[in-house]
Amino acid sequence: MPSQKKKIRTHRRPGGYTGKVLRVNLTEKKIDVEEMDWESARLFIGGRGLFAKVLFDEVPPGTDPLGPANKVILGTGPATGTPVFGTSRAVLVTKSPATNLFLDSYSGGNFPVETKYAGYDYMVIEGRADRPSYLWIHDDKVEIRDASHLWGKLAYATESLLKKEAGNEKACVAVIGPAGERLSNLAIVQNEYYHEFGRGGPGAVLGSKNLKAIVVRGTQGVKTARPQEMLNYMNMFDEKVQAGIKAGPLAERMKFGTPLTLNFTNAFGICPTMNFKYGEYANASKIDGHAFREKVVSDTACYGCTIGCTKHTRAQFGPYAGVMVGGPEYETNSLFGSNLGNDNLDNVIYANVLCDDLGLDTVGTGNLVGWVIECYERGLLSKKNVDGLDLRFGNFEAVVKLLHMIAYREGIGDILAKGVKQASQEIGKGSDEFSMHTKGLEYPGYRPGIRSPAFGLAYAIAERGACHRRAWPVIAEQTLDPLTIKGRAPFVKKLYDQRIPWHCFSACDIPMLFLGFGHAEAAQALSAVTGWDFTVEDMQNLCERVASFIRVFNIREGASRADDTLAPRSFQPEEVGKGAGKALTREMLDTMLDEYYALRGWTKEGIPTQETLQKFGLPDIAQELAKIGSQESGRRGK
Amino acid sequence: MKKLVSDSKVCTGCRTCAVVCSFAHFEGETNPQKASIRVTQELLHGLSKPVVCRQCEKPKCVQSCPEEAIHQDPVLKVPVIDPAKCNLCLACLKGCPFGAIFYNEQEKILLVCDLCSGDPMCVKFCRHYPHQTHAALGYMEPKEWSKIIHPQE
Repeated sequence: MPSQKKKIRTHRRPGGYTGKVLRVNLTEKKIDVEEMDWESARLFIGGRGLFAKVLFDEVPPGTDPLGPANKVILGTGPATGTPVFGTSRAVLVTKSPATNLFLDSYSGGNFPVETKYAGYDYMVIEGRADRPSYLWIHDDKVEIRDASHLWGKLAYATESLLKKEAGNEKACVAVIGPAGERLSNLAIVQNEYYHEFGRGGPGAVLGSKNLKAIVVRGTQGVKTARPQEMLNYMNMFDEKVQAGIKAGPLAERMKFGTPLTLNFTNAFGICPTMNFKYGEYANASKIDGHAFREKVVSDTACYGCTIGCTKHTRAQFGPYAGVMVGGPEYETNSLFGSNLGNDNLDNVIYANVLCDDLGLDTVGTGNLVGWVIECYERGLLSKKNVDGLDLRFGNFEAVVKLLHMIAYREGIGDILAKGVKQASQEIGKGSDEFSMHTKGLEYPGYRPGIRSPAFGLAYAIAERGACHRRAWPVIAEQTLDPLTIKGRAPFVKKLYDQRIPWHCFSACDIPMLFLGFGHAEAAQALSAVTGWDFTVEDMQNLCERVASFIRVFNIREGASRADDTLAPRSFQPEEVGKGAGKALTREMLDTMLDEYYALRGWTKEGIPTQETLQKFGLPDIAQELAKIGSQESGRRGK
Repeated sequence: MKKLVSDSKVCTGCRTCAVVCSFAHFEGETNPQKASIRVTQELLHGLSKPVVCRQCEKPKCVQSCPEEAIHQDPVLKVPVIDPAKCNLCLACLKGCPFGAIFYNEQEKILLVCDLCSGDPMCVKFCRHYPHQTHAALGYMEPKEWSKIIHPQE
């Protein structure tokens, strides 16, 4: 039973929050319940922002991401579990073993709301268990339990076993697979079978702590401070959904899920093809949204979201016929499809199941496999190097075998499990020229370049490395001047800022963006939930505060402007299609970075100015940053 | 007579019905454990089934109550519980063949559907996919519903 350190003061608690923080020290087997730091909550709200603050305060610079001193901050925000809709979204914040920098990873499903209904805004997991363990949370009953019988088991089986052990199908389980146990930088934390905290190696951090799983059952509710205002918001949300269902992007998203994105990326020349060499795939129609819809067996949704974009599919033909999965999403379709020269969706479905079960991120792994294949085709890796596999674009059977090797770190899999950045450094021979990552995080399913300079900037500035969820310029960029960088910096900043409030709330940004919700709606929702008054200006300030704050975290870890870059291949001229012969140059990226930094109130070196930090309510951080500046921090490792 | 009707084939398992149900009945509290409508899910295969009060002709919940604490609303045909008589023996839970009466152990309350006095919130917020003809929940004459979910017959 957790001990109540301080008496939790409930009378001044705003709506939405549970007001409680669960702290689990695996080394000391100690479980505490603490009161929410309300001052920080008012400043950072929750989710990405608040957890960044906790990480900054509790994990000193230079901490080994896979050592016991690293911490996992996992939880939600005030809106989670309320009728803001689409709020079953949890954020996992930690220091990433892939980038050695800030990592925020998001997941939907049922697990997020369940942690909230169990009575906790977030949990801090610290230390390292002396044996395989799992965390059991049933409202205020919290235990660290033995997981020796689960260690080594695949993810799906572990989840089913734990649900059985819990004696309740409704208990929500988050697990790591064999890849997480083996500390792979591609390791995910999976929950409710088909929802993942995917990127940046969060599974490895849990693996390093000997924590196989977290089981949560919550039976408490979440109170909204202003029910009438909430009802107004709910009606407004619903009216927009009703209008959107009739036709247009929302209707398409509901029918096709994320895989329709491939139709757009392919048309715009940014669909990763053959390890990002090309942006258009000749057989795209075989793996696009329409082809995908043929495989769909049911439409499903995360908790409390009427815009369900999860699709369950079943492989129809070939050796994997009958295999079912919740997914695949667009990123998996492109990175295991066009990026590997594979035009068979049934293969992608199988790759998705396999990655989930092994505990691998489909995004990073698909990207990595593309790089391995290119190394092999160019002769940088011999057949002997890759255990006799014939790793050619289009040979899916070899990919399946390689996935096992990566997860279990067999043969070359031991190097590959470190992710594409470290693998290319170890293999050498110029293979880093086409290793597609920023800051050590593999590119997701969008190819930056002159066809999409905005994606180039979005990847470069994202704190966790190449990421498509900070700013998603795919369709909107088409309205800007093509093949130039004109207007890209304010454009990317706007997209980025649209998402921040939702990531702090914490809610899924997909319904909000498809409904065209901006800061006004965010302020309306948050005021109704918490009972605090928020304005559009408050939301904008929140964005600036969170962006600058996380920037300082990374600077403290030794990151600099030089890390805000792209893979060398992204600066190569286009070989085919629109823009052939033209390139996104390093100078162009530099110009965009200059503009972006200036808009954020950062110096040319990408460091938030003292004035900026003071202005957005971060005087302590300003002091901390001044200290770093005077000490001339060491470059970050690896 | 209008009934609360459902179709598990198009239910996504989003449980927005449970979100708005508890929100409407408990002063802005959202808690699926305090909802009078539930959704059973089979996550591995993506299957979901709403559990709703069927407004029975001869309600088993009423018959099963040893304290005669339940009567049927004459208009809406949903069970109404008299808290003064109910001793929480939970015979009605076992009595309902559809599992549509719920008990919240933490707060010791029985949860039965009241159809929000004839304008159910769950139906109001249940949205259908653009590629489907209908939502998973409806409030209408069963004959009318039958025509919607089996248009060819």
